[in-house]
Amino acid sequence: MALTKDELLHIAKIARIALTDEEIDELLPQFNEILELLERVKQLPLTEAAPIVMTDNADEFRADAVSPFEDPDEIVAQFPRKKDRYAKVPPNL
Amino acid sequence: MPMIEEILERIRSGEMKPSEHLEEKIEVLEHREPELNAFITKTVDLAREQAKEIDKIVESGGGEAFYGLIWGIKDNFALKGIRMTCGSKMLEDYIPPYTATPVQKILDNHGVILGKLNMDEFACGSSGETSYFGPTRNARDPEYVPGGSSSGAGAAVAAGIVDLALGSDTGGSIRNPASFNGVVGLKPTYGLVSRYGLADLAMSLDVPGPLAPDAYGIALAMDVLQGFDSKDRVSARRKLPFLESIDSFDPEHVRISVSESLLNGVDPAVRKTTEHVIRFFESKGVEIVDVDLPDIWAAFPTYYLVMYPEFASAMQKFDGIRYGHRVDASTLYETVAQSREEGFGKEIKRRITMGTFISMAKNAEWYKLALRARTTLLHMFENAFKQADIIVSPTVPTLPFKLGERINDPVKMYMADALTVPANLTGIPAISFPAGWKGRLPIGVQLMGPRFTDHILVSAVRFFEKEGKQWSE
Repeated sequence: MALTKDELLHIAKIARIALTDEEIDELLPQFNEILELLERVKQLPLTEAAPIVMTDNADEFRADAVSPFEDPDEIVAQFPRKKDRYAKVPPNL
Repeated sequence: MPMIEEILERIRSGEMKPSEHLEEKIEVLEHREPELNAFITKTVDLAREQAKEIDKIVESGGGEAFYGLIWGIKDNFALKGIRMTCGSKMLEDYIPPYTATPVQKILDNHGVILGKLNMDEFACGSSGETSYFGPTRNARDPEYVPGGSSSGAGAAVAAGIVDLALGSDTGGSIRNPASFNGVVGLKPTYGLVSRYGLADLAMSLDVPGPLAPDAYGIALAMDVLQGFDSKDRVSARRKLPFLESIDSFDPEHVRISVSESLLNGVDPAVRKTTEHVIRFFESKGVEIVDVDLPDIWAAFPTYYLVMYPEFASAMQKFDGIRYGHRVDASTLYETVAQSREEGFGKEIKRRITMGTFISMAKNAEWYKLALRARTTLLHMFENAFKQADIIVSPTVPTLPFKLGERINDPVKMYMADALTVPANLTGIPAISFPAGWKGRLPIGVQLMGPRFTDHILVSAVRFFEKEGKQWSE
């Protein structure tokens, strides 16, 4: 499977990274080299055995209750742009 | 470098105060740090305050478990009020509003925190070179990389700037720098140490763990770090007897496996060191069994197919809106895309785009295939552990390499993880310890065991430290 430049531009758009042309040119061959390597996994004879759960308490759930964060002001303080206690964003379109 | 037990003894006996110990360490910091660049943020004033407090506590008979031992914290763990960068421009000015569980445990147990340690950006790297704050250098030879991604942790412990360090391991990020700097590093069983307050790389693979100059330091740290935390969904309700069983390694009742598939194509000195460790255990009466791991090669592609999409998902929260680096543009989309473009380094962009690609609906088969491959590997290890209690392998297939040697070749860089990623995919514990030297370059050997046998691995390393000799050439 090889990727074209247009496909990589599309992926960058979905991933919300404004890659530069230079970055695209550098990334494309690397991307394809890595994909080739990952494709080797297809040669692995797969087991039919059931999946193994890696945690002790996979079926355990906490109570569905709200516990307030101790210092919400500290979170608001991190907003790069804000008005009062709201994060400020530019228009969607 | 004085070993952890000796330092503890000097403090407990009153020969040295915690604050005097700290001053010694600050001197080492001033001497070595300009060359190594192991720290992103130094917290010397905070450490002095802490040590003064602990002086009083030790004087009145308390101070467990760390008695003022000096810690460094990898900069992807939150410590309230202290900048946490994850080695990225994205978080250059981020001040976390809370403290990570493992960090809180260190504070509660009288550990002194000297600073936040350098690391590959968002823990993505095997050489310490992808940090926005510049590369860390190997503590044994500054021309060489310190390994990664817990690069500052490996270098700071090896240089004796800190007694102990907290790292995180997603595909080898504790064991690789432990190996390259000649210290001990444990990747605990998945779920044994809480991840609350650790910036996630890949949620099904991440685990926090310690780096130390010796097995005793690892055991001391793990007795504190382990344990259930309601804030981490996969946290295990278990406590393993680390210090209690540190000297109870019984060679007559342990089977150790060596597999040719784990030695294929490794550097000759690394191979000789691994064989040296196996011969040592054999000479002490350990039964050596040959367990075949024919599919081990598949761990490498499986790991990347699992990690990339989890990473891309984890990184979505960095959008320049709620925290982190912000570029102001005319639309929301452009603001997010440009903030991420400016805030992230090359390897991060590579991984996010790869992960986004694998996550696309048309590629779902890839991801499903990776999950089935992961199950296959889990069964392979489960079968292997029916025949052996410990599997020995090199930690990294090569010796440390020079700075700049691989940074533009991501595939070659990824290869450094080939022998460490299996433990993350399968959730098992794995420890790297210094077992050999090629000139000035240390060589680490890795022991892997079944889930929740972390303490047995630590006792095996302790046994080697006491009874064995390091290989050298």
